[in-house]
Order: sequence, then structure tokens, then C-alpha cells
Amino acid sequence: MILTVITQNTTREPLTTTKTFKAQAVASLLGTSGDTVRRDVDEAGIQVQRQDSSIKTRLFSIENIFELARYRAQKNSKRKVKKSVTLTVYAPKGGVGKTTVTANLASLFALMGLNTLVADLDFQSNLTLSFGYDSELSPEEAKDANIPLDQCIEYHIGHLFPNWPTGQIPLDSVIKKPYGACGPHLVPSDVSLDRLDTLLTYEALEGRNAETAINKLLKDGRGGKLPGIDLSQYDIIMFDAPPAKNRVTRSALLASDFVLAPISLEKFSTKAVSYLASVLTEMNDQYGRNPELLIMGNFFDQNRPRVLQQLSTIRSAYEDCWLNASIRRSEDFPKTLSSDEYELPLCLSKPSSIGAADLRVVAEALIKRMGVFE
Amino acid sequence: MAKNHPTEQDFLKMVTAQTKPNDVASTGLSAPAKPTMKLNRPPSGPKISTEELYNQELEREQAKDNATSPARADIFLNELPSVGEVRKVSLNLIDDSPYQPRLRYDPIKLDTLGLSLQTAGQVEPITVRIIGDRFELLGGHRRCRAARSIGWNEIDAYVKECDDFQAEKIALLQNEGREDLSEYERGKVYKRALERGFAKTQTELASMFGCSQPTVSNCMKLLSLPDEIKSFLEATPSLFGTALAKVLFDLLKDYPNELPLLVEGIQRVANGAETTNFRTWFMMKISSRNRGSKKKETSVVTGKSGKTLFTAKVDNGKVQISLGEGIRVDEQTVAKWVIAALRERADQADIE
Repeated sequence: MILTVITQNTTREPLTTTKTFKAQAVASLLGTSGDTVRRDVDEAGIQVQRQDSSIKTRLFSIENIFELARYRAQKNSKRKVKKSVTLTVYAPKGGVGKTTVTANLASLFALMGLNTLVADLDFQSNLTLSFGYDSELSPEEAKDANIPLDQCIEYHIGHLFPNWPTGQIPLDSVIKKPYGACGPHLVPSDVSLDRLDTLLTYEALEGRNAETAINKLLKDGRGGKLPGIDLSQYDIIMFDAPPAKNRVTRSALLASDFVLAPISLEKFSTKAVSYLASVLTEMNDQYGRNPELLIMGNFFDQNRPRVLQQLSTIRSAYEDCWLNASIRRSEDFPKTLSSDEYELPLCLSKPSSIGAADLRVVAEALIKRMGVFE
Repeated sequence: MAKNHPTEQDFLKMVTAQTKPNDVASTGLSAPAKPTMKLNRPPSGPKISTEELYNQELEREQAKDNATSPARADIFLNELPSVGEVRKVSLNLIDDSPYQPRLRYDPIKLDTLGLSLQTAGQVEPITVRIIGDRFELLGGHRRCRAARSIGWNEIDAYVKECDDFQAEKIALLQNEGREDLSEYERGKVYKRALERGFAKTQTELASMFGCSQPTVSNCMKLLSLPDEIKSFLEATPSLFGTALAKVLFDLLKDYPNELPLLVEGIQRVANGAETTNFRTWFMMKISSRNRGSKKKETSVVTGKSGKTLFTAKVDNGKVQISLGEGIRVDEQTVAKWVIAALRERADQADIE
């Protein structure tokens, strides 16, 4: 039941680093050539493992790739980060591929060299799982199975709040770095995250505006007002919000510059989008602000008239919110997240698949729309 | 790139081409179904940044901390002489404060509160005073309701000594700060505080309640809405707030005779229509009515040849008859005809 499949064979290293990539695969991840990859990695002085066989092919670890991505971004003087943004991925309805999209986008943003933080706001912890952390793994079980203790989830976003009942925990102890320091950083979640909503409810009852709590956390964290919690290093902060419109979700939306709503083009989802629009209107009435709505189509299938009709209805009603990029329905995406066998997000595990290609287009379109680069 | 699949660019081109509403026909696909349901639009127009929101909240918090007036509810409550320590009081013996300005309790919020009472226990005792052999609430109306809803029999309470005047002041102060008190209810609180002499000016009110003077002024303005509109707020205080009230006052100023249409609009809001597009809806109604009336109220009398002989236009209590081009009769004759026709029907128009 634990993440033992690979870990037991290679006990030295945590699970997420076992997959290796050859230079050509790295090149397709970074959108460049194999030769450039080899040149850059030497230039950057990144230590890459070599094959044991006679031809000493470089075997890039997932950490190596993100290190290289960071190095290349710093070298590229044309692409400078203009402003940091906060993005919530939210769909009022489940089953639209929201968590898969979030995990992939966070990885792709980091591949662009952006310092990315992604927070799992759902106590069901699916995003946490998609980065390889089983939130049910207890320290005792980990010890027995010889899994490094840092694979266990001890803290979640609630622990970053100064008024958390058991005290604030420094950011470094809360976050996970599944793909190394240069990869996306994850604020994981576990089942006890449910308490955050109760805490916010109390705040509200005490007459404080609980829904502005996440905005306050981000601003204080970016402004150096919280010892131990420095959020100023991040170019992008993402939230994976649960479908329920609870206080935590509303608080994340209120703190976000943008809300990305993935909608399933296979199902009739116009009602869900319309509902989300009205939620944003209510928010605007109450606080004078709301995140800008961006809609992205998922499970696109050009051969199905109903899908096209659905797309056309949504496009004509929400032209200005429509992100001009969709993700096609494809067999590449894993059907379910499982804690028995870990798979990297699709954009990393199968960089040359259609799904990965679509995700890259979406990531680029988003970054452009959000005005992250100069 | 994977085999047998278009490239990203092809794909994007395809999505763009096939889904532009106007282009659908040209691709041989059936035209898009007109959305049968009304799709809500996300809000547009000016909004504050996350920085401004942060600063606003900071100011709000500071204003609360700075409001050192001894009249603030918690300080005031602490100063009241206690009758013993915190004790368990039977919920059956607790009555609402008669000074409670809240008109409605949100059942969902009560539910959440009940849930948190159940999971975390009661953090803050309620406050009551003794009236005869029963207790009257000073603070904690919602906690009591929530506790009853989850089947509690008793609740932790501070018992204080307190006269009616103090009790009223506490009720007003305590409830004003609550997040889910609507702006209309808040306006009522301010008005009552003025009437009872707890404060003399709006500025005094603002510092007493730890808010800004414009907030006081805006909330109190809700009370001066016409009664026809106010009755909706009496039924559902949170139906709309100061933002829509501003629009209503604007429209009333420009269209003093259109109160019935405004009431119709508020009825729509009560039925779930958005408040943000109220003005748009109102202007649309006005303009469509004008257009409709012109068409309907201009009648044309044509001859056998099909030419226009007379047109009759109704406008604001006047009937104007125009003579068509080249007709054989003159104005005097037409006037005689009209008068004759009117005389024939005079009994129908006679004053009752």
C-alpha cells in the first residue's frame, strides 16, 4: 500500500528521482536540441550521472532537468520575469482533470525557469499524490519500508498561518520539493486540512474577515513580515482548490489574480461556468475584487459534434475569458491516481505525447495571458 | 510528434476555426445551438488589486484596534460586574435580547457554527443577564441557536449585571461588527444608536463602531429608500446593499416617475437576478418601452389606392392628425369630421 514498488529495489534514493532521461528527452522537455543540452549542462557545471555501460551516456535525473531549466532561464536575458502572479485552478464540478492540469502546469512553469509554488487546498490530497506523496503514509510505516521520512506529510497550508492552533511552522519544513530545489515546490495536504475551514469560520464569527486570510498570508509572506515564511522567491503561486465553495476556496480566489477553470468538453459544463461567473460576481459585490476568469477546454475531441457544439456555445458566451488553447482527449493521461505506483506528470513522463504537447501550449498561453514575462 | 496526429499548430488552427461561432457553418457542421439557458457573465469593470484589498483589511483591523472608546462591546462587557465565574446555563432558560437588531439568521452559517461547536467545543462563553428566573442574552445569539440545533442542553455563559440601557448598547455594539449582518441591518443599528443618544453624529458613530464615516452614511442611506423598495429589505435584509442603493437613488433622481419599474427590478433581484446589471436592465426596459410605444401609437389610414391619407399620432395626452400628401380635403374639413366622430362617442368619454 505504500510507495514501495521502486523504493524497495533502490533504497538509496526517494522514489521521485528514479526515472532518468537521456539528453534527447531533456531537449524535448526544454524545447531545444540535444547538443545545446549537453553544452549547457557542462557550462552550468551540473553533475549528471553517466551510464555504467561502455558508452557513457548522460542519464539526467529529474532534478538535473529542472536545474538546467533554471540555468537556461537565467542565461536568457530576453525573458525576464515582470511580475509575480497568483493563480487558482478551480472548477465548481469535479472530474474535469483539474488536479492533473495543475500538476502538469506547475511542472511546465518550473521548466520555463519560473520559481513555482503550488499549494494543495483539498484535504483529499490528490495533487499531493500526483507529486508522489501519499498523505496516508505514517512515519512508522515509512521507517519499516525504508522510505525516507521526508516522503511523509506532516504539515499543510494551515500551518503557515500565524494563528494556527498548534503554532506556525517555517515554510521550509512545510513544503516538499518533489523534483529538487529548482522544480515546483509543493505545499502538500492531508486529511487534517479540513480544520482550516473551521478555523476560518471561527475567524469570521469573531468579526474578522476570514476570507481575506490567504491574501494576507501571501502579502505578509512576500513582504517579509512573517519570520520563516519567505514567499518573495516565487514567480508563480498556484492553488489547487477543491470543488466545494468553502471558505478556503473563496479565500484562495480572493487572493488570486487569475482563476483557471478547466471545463470538460465531453460533458455539458456551461452551467458550471455560469455558476462560477456568478460566484465571482458575488465576490466582487462583497469585496470589490475578483480574480480574472480564464476558461480552458479539456477532453477536446474534434470528431464529436457535441463537443464542438459545446465548445462553440462557451466560446460565444465567454469569448474574452476563453484561453485560446485546449487539451485533447487522449489515452496518454493516466486514468486514476494510484498510491501503489507513481507516475510523473504527463508533461515529464511522456514529453513527446499529444497530451504533453497540448499542455505546453496551454502553459505558454497562460503565461502570456497573465503577463508574467516582460 | 506522435504519429497520425496533427501538429500543435494544426490543432490550434483547427480549434480556432471550428469553434468561432460564425465559421461553424463553413466547416459543414451544424450551427451552434443557441444557449437555452441564460449564462451569467463574470464581473467586468474596475476592481481593486490584491494589494488594495490587503491594505483595506489592514486599515479595518487597525481601526478596530484604535477604537479605544470604552463603549466597545467587549470592553464594555468586561467592565460589567460579574455574577460569579463562567457557568453552565440551561438553553431552555435563555431568551433572545429584545434589542437584537438581526432580522434573519443564515441557516447554512448556523449549521457550520454548529459543526464547529461539535468538533472544537465552545471556545467563547456567551454573555447573559438575569431577568426574573430566566436569562436574557447579551451576546451569543447565534451560538445559542447553533447549540440548540446540535442538541445541546446547556451552554457556557458569563452572567453579568446589567440594566436595560446598557443591554441595548451592548446588543447594538456586539452585533454591528458581525460579518453576516447586512448593510441594511447595520443601517438600522446606527439609526437606533443615534436615536437612543449613544452617539450624536455620524463621525461619533463611526468611532464607536470602529468603521468609517462613509460606511455609516451609506448604510443609513438604505433606510431612506422608498417604502415600496424598503419592504423587500425588511423581508430579506441581505437582498442588496449600498452598491445597488446608490444605483437606485441615481435612477430615482433621473426618472422620478419610474418607481414602479424600479420595484419590478427589485422583484427580479428577489427572484435571483443579478444586482450588478440592474442599471442595464432598467435602461433597456425604458428604451424598449419608448420604441414600442412609438410603433403602436402611430396609426395610418390608407385609401383604396393604398396611399396614406391620414396618420394619427398619440403623444402625452395629445392626438395629432397629419394629412397625407395630395389628398382632396383640407384641414378644416378633416377637423369637422373628427369633431363629428368625437361627438358621436361623447357619452362613452363622459366623466363618471
